[in-house]
Amino acid sequence: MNHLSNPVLQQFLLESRDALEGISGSLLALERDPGDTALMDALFRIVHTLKGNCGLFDFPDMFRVIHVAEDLMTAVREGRLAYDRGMADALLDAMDFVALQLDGIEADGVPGAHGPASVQLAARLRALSEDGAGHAATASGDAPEAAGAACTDARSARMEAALALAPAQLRRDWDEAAASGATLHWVEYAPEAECFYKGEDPLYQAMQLPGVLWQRVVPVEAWPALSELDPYRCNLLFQAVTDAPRAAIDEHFRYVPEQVWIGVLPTGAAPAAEPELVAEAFAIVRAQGAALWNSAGATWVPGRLLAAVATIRGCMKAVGRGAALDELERCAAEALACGSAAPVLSWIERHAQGTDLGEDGASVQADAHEAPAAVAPGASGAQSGAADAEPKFGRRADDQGGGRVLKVEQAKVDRLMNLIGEMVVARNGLPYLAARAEEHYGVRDLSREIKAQHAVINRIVEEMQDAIMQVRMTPVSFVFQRFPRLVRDIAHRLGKEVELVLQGENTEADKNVIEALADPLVHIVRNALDHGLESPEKRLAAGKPACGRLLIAAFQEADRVVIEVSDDGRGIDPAAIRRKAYANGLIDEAALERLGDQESVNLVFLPGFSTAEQVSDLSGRGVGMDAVRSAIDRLGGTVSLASTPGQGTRLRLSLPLSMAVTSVMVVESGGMQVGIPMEMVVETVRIPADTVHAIKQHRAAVLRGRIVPLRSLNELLALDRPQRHNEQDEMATLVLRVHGQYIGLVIDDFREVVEVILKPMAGILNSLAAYAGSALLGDGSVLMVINPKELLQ
Amino acid sequence: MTIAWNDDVLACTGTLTVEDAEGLLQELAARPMAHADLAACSHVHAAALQVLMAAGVQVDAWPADAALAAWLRAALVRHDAAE
Repeated sequence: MNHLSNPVLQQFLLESRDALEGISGSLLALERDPGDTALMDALFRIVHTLKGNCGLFDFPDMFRVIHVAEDLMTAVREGRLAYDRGMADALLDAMDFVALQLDGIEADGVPGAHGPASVQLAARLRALSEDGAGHAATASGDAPEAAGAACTDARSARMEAALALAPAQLRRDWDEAAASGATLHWVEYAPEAECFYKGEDPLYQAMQLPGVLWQRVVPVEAWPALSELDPYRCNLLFQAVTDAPRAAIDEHFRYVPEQVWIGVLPTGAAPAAEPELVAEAFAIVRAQGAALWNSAGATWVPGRLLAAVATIRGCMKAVGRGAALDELERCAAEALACGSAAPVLSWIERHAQGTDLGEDGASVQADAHEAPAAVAPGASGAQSGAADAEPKFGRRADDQGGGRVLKVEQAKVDRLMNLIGEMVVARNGLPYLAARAEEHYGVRDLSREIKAQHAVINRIVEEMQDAIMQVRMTPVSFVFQRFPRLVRDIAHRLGKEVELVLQGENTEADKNVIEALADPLVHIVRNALDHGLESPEKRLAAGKPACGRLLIAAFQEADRVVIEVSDDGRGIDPAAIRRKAYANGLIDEAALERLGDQESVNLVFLPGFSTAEQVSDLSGRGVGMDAVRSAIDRLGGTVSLASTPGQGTRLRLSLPLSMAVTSVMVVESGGMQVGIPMEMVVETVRIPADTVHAIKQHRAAVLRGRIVPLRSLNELLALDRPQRHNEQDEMATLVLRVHGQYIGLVIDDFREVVEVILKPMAGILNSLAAYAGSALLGDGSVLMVINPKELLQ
Repeated sequence: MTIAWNDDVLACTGTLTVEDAEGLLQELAARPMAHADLAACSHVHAAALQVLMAAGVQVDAWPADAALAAWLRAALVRHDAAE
């Protein structure tokens, strides 16, 4: 399990899954509207980020596939290829492959061996991208050179300036190496400012550069005061001398060619000046920098600036480092224009600092460098002055405005919920305590105070409960988002045309409810596509448009979330259902005659029912709607089905918004107390024993003109004692509504209704379907909550 | 990552990730003139690195990993008399 303790990997998995969802959504949207360039750009960005993240780890198969997929998208984006269904299929397959690898990584820490599959996929994608484009994106090598000549000049000037800072011994070594035929390269890597948001780690990237002989890391712009630094805006410039061949360097930076400048190291330009002299000159330059820091906001900045620049110019020339002076002049002009020393300071940072001069130079600049660090807080004035001219400096303040979304592991939220659950139990204990204080210890005042305190705690606990519920609320889009793809694939396979309409995707319910909904909904949608919607020919023959319509809608109704899946297909023929059920031995002959149309339609929920003439790979295996119904039952929900032959079918799922707090009625039976979920209780009545009718072995009573069968809870729980009646010889009865039918559950006596946190049975007890779970009561006792749907089967 | 203060010396262990950068920035902003002990560091994300650079942290001990140490020196060794 070691691999999952790696936070970077965890983050990668999380982000990649998000990315995959985004990608497949965009791919499907593009299929509908291939001309949408904004969508294409968005898609391209996600894929690029995914690839960048992937590159942080050693997942070559995944990387290969994403890389080729990206090439293909590049071709489409640049208009070299037209987006079509075949391409969408290939790209979707590629994303499936990535998802498969992610699963592997999550399970075992390694993506699993899919080498051949990835090569095959990559070949397929490559074939597609080469279709239209003779010379596809092999831009890595030439792109940097293609950049403007002026830009290159600035970079080579920077190279010369930086190289002047390298220790003399190293420079002589490089010259020797060059003389013996080796080519050394200068690499300047300027990651883009937003690169951290793409999951890139420029330092890691730089570290992996092969053959590094000497390196330097400098800020692009002078560091602002710490309070104004945005750590997530990359302000770094990496420079290195390497003896790796050009091809290897290109290969290493193949994903960020536009951020890298590679030059051949100039030879023969051995250091002209003595190292001590150079060090001294740079110390003077830095001292000028320190002085400029101090000049923050003063009116004499221009004069001071000119003096400093003149000094620096003299120093640089004296030690033969004139190369960087052009840039200095530009910085000085800019500084004068905006009345702030910042541009010149940043020049000094780039050219005179961050140098490793070795032992000999160390003593000279010790004090020269301490100064800027010490005055840094005071320098903020100069920085905010610069903010007007350079808007980038002020970014951080703006960034803080927007709320940040926190991604939290579900386990942490669950723990919080469990703790609040225990808090509820502890709170429920206070009334017991108050009662004891009064009855047992006879201190009425204390009892009253406990009750007052209970009211306060009660309010807080209820708010906490509400807050944690809000955290756990998940929109149904979590489940819905998979349907566009699913419907598309199934429809293609079945040769049907389907338009999917999703409504109310923002409707929210508890995460557990939403997650548990996924499988039943997939089942329902498959059924609708396979059995509900007809083929285009049949639809046209029936006078309907060739393209079928599948609507999945979610909305909230009181404290329940309702999900409706409706199609405009052939509907369900009640007579056919009856015949089929009879043929399968699910109903008897009498029922065949007796059942009404709606009741017949409901037969599809019976276990083992299947109307499909033949078993397909989609449905028709007999594990159909009964599985759906039992899954929804487990969630405390209901399913109903309505159908008009020839016009369509509508399936309606109604689920509780949250399952965390359950209202249960506590009743007494057989000398123990048990809980019954309140949602099933229709009424509580006391039925006189002499009004009970016996029909065969069963008992029943007439309540409000309706015959209600009676079942004894003791009997159902196999408790060997009769149900207790009260003094008037009446039976305490809970009328429950189970699957639309009324049933009277006879018990010993009613107690009260409590709100509890229902814990599902764990371990071996989990197989006892008759119990919904257990809950702790305020007095510390355990309440078993029964599941009447199972118990009364 | 775990960071611990020992007087004004910041001891970092494990990986300084991109998420750590923000926290690190706040810690360092509160303590100017901080030193850092990176001996037990396995990697420093560039975002964390630039915080260290901007804060002008003086590094007392370098990571064991030679490549990492070389790059960090290139970024963080300014003109430490102690070096």
